[in-house]
Amino acid sequence: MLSKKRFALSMVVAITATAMLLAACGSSSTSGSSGTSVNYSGTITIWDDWTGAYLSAKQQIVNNFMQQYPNVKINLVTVNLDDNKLITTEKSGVNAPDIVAFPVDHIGTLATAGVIQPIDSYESAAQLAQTYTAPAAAGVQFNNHVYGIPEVTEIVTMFYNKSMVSASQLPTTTSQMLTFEQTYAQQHPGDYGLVWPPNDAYYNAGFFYAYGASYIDGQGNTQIGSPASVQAATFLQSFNQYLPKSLNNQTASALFSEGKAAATIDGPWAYDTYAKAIGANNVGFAVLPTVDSTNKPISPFVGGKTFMVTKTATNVPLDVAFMKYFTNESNQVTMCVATGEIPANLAAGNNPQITGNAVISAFFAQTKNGVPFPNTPYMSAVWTPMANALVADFQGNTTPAAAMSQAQSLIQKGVQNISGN
Amino acid sequence: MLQVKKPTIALFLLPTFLFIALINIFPIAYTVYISLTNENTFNEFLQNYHFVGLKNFQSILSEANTALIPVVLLTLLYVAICIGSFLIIGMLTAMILNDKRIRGLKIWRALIILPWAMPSFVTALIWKFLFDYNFGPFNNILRYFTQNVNAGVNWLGSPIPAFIAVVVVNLWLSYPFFTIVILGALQSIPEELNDAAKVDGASTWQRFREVTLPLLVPAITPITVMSGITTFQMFNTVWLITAGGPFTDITKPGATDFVMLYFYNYFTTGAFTNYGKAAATAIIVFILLLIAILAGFRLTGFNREETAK
Repeated sequence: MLSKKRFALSMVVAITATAMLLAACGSSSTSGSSGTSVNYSGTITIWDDWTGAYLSAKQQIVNNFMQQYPNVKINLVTVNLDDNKLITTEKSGVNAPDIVAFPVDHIGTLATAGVIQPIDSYESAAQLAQTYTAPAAAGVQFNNHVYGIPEVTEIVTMFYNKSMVSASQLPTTTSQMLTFEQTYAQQHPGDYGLVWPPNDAYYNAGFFYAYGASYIDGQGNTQIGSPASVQAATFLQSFNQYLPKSLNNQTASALFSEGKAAATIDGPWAYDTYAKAIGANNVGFAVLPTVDSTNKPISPFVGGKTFMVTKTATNVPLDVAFMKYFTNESNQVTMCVATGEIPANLAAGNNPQITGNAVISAFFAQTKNGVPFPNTPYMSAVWTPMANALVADFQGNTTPAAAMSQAQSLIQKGVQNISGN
Repeated sequence: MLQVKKPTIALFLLPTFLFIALINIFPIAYTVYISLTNENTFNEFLQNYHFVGLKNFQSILSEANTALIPVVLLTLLYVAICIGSFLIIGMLTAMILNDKRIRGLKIWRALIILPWAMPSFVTALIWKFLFDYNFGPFNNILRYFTQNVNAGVNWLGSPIPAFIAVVVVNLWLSYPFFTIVILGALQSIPEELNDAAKVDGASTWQRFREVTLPLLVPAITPITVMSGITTFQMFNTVWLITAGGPFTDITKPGATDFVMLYFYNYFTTGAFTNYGKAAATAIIVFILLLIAILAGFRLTGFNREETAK
């Protein structure tokens, strides 16, 4: 009862404040191509999970912005990014953030929950498409609304050990991938060709999408039981005779780090570990192979961090202006060179400073083959069934067709759970 | 005698009562309330959830025949096998350590507690490696002796070996506790009793069966029940090793899908954001555990007034 009253009160306050702000905006807004003028004053509170070197690179951009607009104060708050925490905070309205830097796949859940707001009036889909890479621009749109500005992207690509194989030996098609696996193991007993976690729905998404099956769409429809998906599962199962049975994230990473596997599939977060383990000079990158039957490149999920504006944000035009400033070309270039992250800004990705960086440019190149990370809340129904199906498939405990149709029925049940009773 | 009025007593108890109400009673009542609604991540902030009656319970229990009952039976089987082996191994090690002819008893006694004192997740991960098909020592030893590089049991990838594996790990983790308790009880048995039985011509087995064992029962019963309950609730160790799998049909419970793992898996399959269903699941698990605990109390006579000494 009490909390409802308090909630109602805070809503009244919020609405009054918004109305006053809008009135103020309305009277002062005279020019501007986007139709809204920005009032560069006030405090912006940002929730993020940046620490260490990341934090200092990002703090620099924030400081520059504050220097440019002395009436703006920006507080960076390091938190454990959790949907429920944001929902609870927004509900109470106490110390609520204006901007949150969540992983892009949270957009659907947060938008449906009503704690973030669309920003179409400040950044249209067309503007997004001009400024950011295609999967990054698509990833921040949900239910035909723009809900965020992409900060950085993440994707998996192929790492190889230059002391074990040369670039020309690497597979470029799926059939070569299987041959590579077989011949490498034959020629180097005890070692492996290409290792990756065959039990992980994230790492294997690229195969399914390249075979023509999508995990889930905005309406909660899945194609996991489709013939294309079964083909992908059959292809993945064919590796079980060449790879360790217990292969997972840790074992794949350990095999590559110890020089027992010539290549692996992993993301930018793993680079430092591998550079330290096998020597930065030995780490090479290659774009993931193309599926023979569909002639489509393996298309991994393009995820990453996104700035979103919360429901309780007080100065939305300023928030969006900051988000755009943060992700402009020059800021992205400086920041990504310092942190090793992959820019979401298209021009930044093509900037000589980035194209000259072997690591960042490799991931940026792979992004061109990527698909947007599904941002629908229904995605949470996919992870567990898909992981279990992939294990059963890889272990050979079921046929690929059975594993996929079972996963399909579990995902449908999960979607029902999410969409309500 | 100091006379204290009842309101004064109530006043002094009030802080504690309020504390308990805040920490225990309110969350329990709130869970019951949530379980009767369709509250979820998406309607919490917008506050457009409503009462749905027992719908959440119905939807969970509708799978009772295909999932819940097999899972409970599988868990009971696991508990029975585990407790049986704890008792046998615990008894044997305790009797060995109680033998005064053995040298360095203190060292052995300290060593035997180690598995129990280690953090269970560390132990679980080490065993996971030991059981590994390609790199694990068990299969490598097998390959060495059979001189066959393709030999090996897919311990964690096939149903029955995986079940055996999680029994072995739990045994390793838990038997020291049994050893210690049984050893303590053994040391409290006066040697005269055994000597007297010996004089009467009782064999070793008879002395164990008729003298030692009956005297151990009061010590063994409570630890058996306690251990049974914790094994019934087993989650982290099994989760780290098999995660409830291996699955031969992922729509059905896996070979090591014990009660807590099954509900966790059930939960993470889309029900994660559904607070109503989550609360209903919590209540069902609570009832299952309550039954297990009450059965345990009955066995130990914990709640009987006239508890024997």
